[in-house]
Amino acid sequence: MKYLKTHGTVLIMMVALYLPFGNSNAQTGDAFTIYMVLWRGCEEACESFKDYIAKKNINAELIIRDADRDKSKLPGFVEEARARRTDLVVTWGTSVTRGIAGTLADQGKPRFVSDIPLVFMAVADPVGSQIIESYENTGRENVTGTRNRVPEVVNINTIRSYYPAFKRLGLLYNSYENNSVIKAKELKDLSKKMNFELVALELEPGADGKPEPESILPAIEKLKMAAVDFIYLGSSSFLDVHRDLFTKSAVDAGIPVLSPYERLVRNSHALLSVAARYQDVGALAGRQAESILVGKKKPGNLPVLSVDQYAYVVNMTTARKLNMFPSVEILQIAETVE
Amino acid sequence: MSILWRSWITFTAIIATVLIALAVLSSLQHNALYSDLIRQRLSVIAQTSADSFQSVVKLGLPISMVRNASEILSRAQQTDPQISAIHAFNPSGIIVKTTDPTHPGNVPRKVAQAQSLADSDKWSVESDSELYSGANISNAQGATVASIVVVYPKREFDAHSTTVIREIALTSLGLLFIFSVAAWLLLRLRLAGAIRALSRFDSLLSAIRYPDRGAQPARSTIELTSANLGFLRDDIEIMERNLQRANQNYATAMNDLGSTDAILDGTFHVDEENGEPHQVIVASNPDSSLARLIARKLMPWAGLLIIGSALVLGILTIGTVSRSIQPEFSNRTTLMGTVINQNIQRAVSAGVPLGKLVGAEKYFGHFLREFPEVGYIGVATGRIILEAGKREENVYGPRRASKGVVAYPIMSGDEQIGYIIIDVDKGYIAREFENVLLDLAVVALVSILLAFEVLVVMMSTSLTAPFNRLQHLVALQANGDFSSRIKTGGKSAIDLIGMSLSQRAEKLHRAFTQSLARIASVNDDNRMQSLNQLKSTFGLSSQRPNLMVFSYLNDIRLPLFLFAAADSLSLAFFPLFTRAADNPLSWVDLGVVISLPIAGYLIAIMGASPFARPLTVRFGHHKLLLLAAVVSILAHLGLFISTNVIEIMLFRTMGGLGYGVFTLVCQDYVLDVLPKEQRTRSLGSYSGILCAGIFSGAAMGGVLADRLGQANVFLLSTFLVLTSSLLIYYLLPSRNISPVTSTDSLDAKSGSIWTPLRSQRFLFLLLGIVIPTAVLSQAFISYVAALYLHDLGASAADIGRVLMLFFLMITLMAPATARLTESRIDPALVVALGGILCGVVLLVGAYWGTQLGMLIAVWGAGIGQGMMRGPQVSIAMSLAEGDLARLGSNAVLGSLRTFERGGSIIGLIMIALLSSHHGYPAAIAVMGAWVLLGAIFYAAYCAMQSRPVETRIRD
Repeated sequence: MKYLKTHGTVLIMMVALYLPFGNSNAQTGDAFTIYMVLWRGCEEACESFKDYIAKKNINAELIIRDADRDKSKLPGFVEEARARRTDLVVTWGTSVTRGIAGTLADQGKPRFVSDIPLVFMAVADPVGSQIIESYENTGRENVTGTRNRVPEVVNINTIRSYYPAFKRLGLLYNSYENNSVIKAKELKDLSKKMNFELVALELEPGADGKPEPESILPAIEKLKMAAVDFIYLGSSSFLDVHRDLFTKSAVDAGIPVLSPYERLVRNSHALLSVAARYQDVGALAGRQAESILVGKKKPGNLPVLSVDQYAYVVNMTTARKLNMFPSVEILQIAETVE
Repeated sequence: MSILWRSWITFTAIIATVLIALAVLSSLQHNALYSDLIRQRLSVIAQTSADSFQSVVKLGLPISMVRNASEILSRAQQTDPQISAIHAFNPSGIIVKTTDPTHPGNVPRKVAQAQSLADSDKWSVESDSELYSGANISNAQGATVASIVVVYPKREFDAHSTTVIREIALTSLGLLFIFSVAAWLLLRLRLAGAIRALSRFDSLLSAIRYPDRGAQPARSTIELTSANLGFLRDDIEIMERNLQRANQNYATAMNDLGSTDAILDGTFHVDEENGEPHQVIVASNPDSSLARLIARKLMPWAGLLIIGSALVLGILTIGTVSRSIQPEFSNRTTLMGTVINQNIQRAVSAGVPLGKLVGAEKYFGHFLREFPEVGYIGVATGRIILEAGKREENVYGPRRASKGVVAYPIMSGDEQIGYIIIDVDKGYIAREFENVLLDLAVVALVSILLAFEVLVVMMSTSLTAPFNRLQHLVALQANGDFSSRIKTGGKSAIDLIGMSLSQRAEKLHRAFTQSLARIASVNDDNRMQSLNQLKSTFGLSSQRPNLMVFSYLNDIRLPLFLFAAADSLSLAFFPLFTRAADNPLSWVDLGVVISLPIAGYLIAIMGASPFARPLTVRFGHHKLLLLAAVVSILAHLGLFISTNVIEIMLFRTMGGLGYGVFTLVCQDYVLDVLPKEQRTRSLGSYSGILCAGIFSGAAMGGVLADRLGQANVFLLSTFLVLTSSLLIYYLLPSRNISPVTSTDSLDAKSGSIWTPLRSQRFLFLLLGIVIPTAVLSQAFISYVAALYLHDLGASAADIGRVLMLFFLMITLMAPATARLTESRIDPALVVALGGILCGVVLLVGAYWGTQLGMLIAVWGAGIGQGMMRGPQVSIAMSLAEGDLARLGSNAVLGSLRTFERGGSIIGLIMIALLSSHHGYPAAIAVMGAWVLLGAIFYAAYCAMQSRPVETRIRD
């Protein structure tokens, strides 16, 4: 109550700012409170989540918090969410979700949200990150979410369909981001099963433990020296932020980049991706929120929903630069962008 | 009605039959072909769309997750504006992507069924209003994970089909008119003399009715010798002489009995059938020279007119059908060019330089494999820069350049930077046309076979049978035998003469009865003695004269043909029909489930074998054939309404029972009604008719199922069996026929089926000839040949035609070779030669291992079987009348048939096992060796007996 009194004015302002649609809920009298924690601002998924709530006329008060790539802010968000007696917490990204919901082993710890329904999105590998047990059964009463990534097998098959002589895959990862480490390990395991060689290089950490953008170019040079055929770019917010630098450097080095993020192909210099649109991810998270708030479903009973629309996207400008054109066969299904 | 009118109506009816049958079947065949070609064209779109999605599936993504799937389908739909929708659906039939704005949830059941039952990745089906062509998409393990189906409205098809059918119908009507007029002119020319001769029947009739007017027959004889009376002159003369003698005998008998026509007239009704009891006898095949003469004189002309009309309509129909379908070949190749062009254009438009197209040759290669009629694909920019396949001259494909316009240009912006070259494989198109011609030839052949059977029956009932009856009765009365009469219904002079003669016999019997009563009342022994003498002289009795009922092989020709055709109509699609039905036996292997109805069918036939003959003896041919027809009708109706495998199995087994009994009773009819000297030939004819029916049914079943629907074919079968049973009802004598050629001795014991095996001759016949022959039919023709041909790369149509050849050869050879055995060659020798031929050709087929080798094997096996079928039963009957007379023909034939069927089933299982372990050539070689050795052993055994079996039995 004390918290409410202290922050009463802020709350009113937030409602005015974020929830112009809250009054029209025809199904319940009181507005729901949705507490959304982001990693690097409100991007496409966040926006489409908001659109979905508005489109469905769900009377909800939406509180958005941006960690701005700083994990240390997350415990405060947990406290605030609890204090505001929010009806639902929505998390974006692996780091945020682990920081808010914790892992399976953290269940019940006051540091993490175990008592408020939580929907995660844009988590690369929630099972590998030990956030949930499985996609069908999260193993946590208050947690469900969405997934938006094709299995890595599909990505490797995609590379092979494009470049049948593919043998060696390059990867840059950093130990600051847990999902980045997990991805390196996953690809390492996959390389044995799918018979390719993985050259995984860790980006040098800076003084604060975070990697520095300056480390990208030398790392790509090293991958070139290692004669990798393709570079995989994914599961790293750091690299995502520095995507232009990364992909351009790779293309300049004559190495094509595959990314599970479509925007890296559409808006940057990655050659190809088989990915979902982030808008679809946000809308799917909105569907989960609707089931919990309006449908009164228990999150633990809801399977993690997968985005069901993916596209094979090729950047033809990059293809021309690399002199690596997609085959006639691929062009029958691929979306090409310049 | 004069012989000219009778003959003309008969000829016209037969020509109409053949033309109607050919027109209907050709129209159905055209529709099947045309529908198939449109579906093949659509399959280009279905297959290329499926190929596109195949790339996604290879990555590990389901189609439902492909974001631009609807766009890909829409792009495909734009290649033909008439396409109403393209769906992508999963194996459960749920549509996951579609271009249909109404977004239906599922594909129609028929489509899902066609997809699930298809043997290959391409399939098609049609409904009343739409054509569907589909292609499957498989995952890395080869399992179908989704399918693409192109939906096409049938408006264009219906309009086109109506035009073609109208053209065929008008052509048929025109030809009917022309050939009917030709028949009239021909008959007038050929029968002019015979008509003059037959006009004498009018004077003969008045001679019988008004004997007091006396000398007319004598006068007519004088006229006959001076006039040109055609081929009937000799027979008319004989009949006139016989009639004169019959008149004299009648007058003498009447005089001796002290009676007159005036006294007897009006005392009874001659047509009274329910009066005093009278004995019925059957005169077995009174194959008079007159009847045979008429048949022999008219048959070649009938054949000429029928085959001529069928050939002319066939040639004209082929022209019509070819003109109708030819544009479709071009449409298909044009579409292929368009699709390839679009795909290459898409790459170029995406920014890929024409010279750097990646995987184009692989893509073209894949295209060539999918669509064999395309022989070559190339991309040219002034010179060929990419190509796949073998370059040929363009036949039906679009022209590359015409008046400076390139057919498939590749554009970059507004500039043409190259073009696509597509060459059509001339050989492939020629083969496709060849297939069309062969299909139509088969249709023509079936029509001719049907027409031939109708011809024989109509000639028999309307022309030869009345002559036969009259000639037989006249001959009896000329010899003073008035014991018999005939039943006539017509109003022609021939019928009226027959009626008058029968009336005379009735009068004599009545006069005899009155005399007997008078003498008995006065108790005069002398007069009684002279009356008894009159009785034996003129064959008189106190009852009505015996009614003569005539039986012919021709009685069962058409019924047997129709019955066999009805039974085999479903052969082409039965396994598919079973697979499509609900399967409550889901725990049983599907292959076994599919074979269950066939197994039930064969077991029912085997089960019926030992009982057919005893039942014939008990109930008579007429009743038993009708009963078997009823069982068969119920079975066909049951199959029509069947929805699951158990019902299908039950009704197919029932059908087997009906078929087994019907065909065996028909064989018994042949054995019982025909003189021994005609037996082999008649059994040959029987085999020929049976195989002609099987051939016709099997050949037409596929196209009928395609056009009418599988279930409706069973209704058609029901109709055919019903027609067959009506013919049986009207044509066959309704009372029991005493076997005239093989009467079982009174002390004949009906031993078990094992008893005849004690006879060496029977054993050698059974083991050396009968069982190997049956195994050849069941295992080689019905099983191994089709599978081996498939392995050798033959198409389903080719396999069907090769197997049809087998039945066609039997149809042609069985009557021909059996005829030879009548006078010149020993049946045992013919049988052995047939066996040796079968064995040799099978060994050749197995050794050669090519399609041609198998063609020769099947062809030779058909000839060999044709040689063996009739004589082997005939030999068995001879044994039943000779060495095994103590057992009787029932036991011998029952044993022969049971071991034949049982042996064939066991042989089939053995050959199936052999095939699965050692391959088809080995199985065929073993069968060949078996048949060959069996025939050699049998021949050696017969040779070791100093005289041939048949000769000794005749003695």
